[in-house]
Amino acid sequence: MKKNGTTTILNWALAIAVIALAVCSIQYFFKTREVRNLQSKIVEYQNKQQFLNSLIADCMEYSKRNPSIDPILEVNNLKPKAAGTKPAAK
Amino acid sequence: MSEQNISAPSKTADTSELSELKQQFAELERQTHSLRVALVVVAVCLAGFLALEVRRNGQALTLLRPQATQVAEASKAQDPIANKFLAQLMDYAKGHPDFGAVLGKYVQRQPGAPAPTTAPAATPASVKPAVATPTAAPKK
Repeated sequence: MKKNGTTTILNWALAIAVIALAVCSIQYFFKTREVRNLQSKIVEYQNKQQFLNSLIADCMEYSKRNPSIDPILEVNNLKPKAAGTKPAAK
Repeated sequence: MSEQNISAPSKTADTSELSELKQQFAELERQTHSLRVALVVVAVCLAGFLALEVRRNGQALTLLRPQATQVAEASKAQDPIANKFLAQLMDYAKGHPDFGAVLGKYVQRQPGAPAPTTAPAATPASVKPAVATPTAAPKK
């Protein structure tokens, strides 16, 4: 089969495009995986924050009905210590 | 004479067959050329698209990496405190069954957390989900 100039150019273009495609595919795979990992970590942290905020809100609501939970909230700096509260036993 | 008579139509047939083959060959060559061009175009388009996506992912990564580092540090600092707080609340719930109902809906849902101290019957029927579905997009 006789090879003319156009075919040779096309073959070279195809080879270069395929190499570029392979390189881009590998980069795409690794970068996408890293983005997904980081996003899942951030979302997990946000969910944990939401969980804790919701728990704290319920604890604060409960402390209005039953102040006996207050020491736990105060120790964790979730509620300001009452002015008349005695310091913890030494 | 007879050989000439036999070979003349044979030559004509050979010539027509050869020209037909040449025509087929030319047609195939054209098709191959077209396919090669199409393949180059597709490969270039795909490579360009992937290169764009790689660039976008790279930009996203430059934003996400510091956030993820902050999150990891904050999580490392916060987790022991949160676990301690949860343990204190669970201790408290042992003496206060009404609080056990409040805590139950959280402790059940916390992955890896110890089992709730209260009976499941104490859990209210309308429990709101404590952990949201991971649909929230990260801050950019």
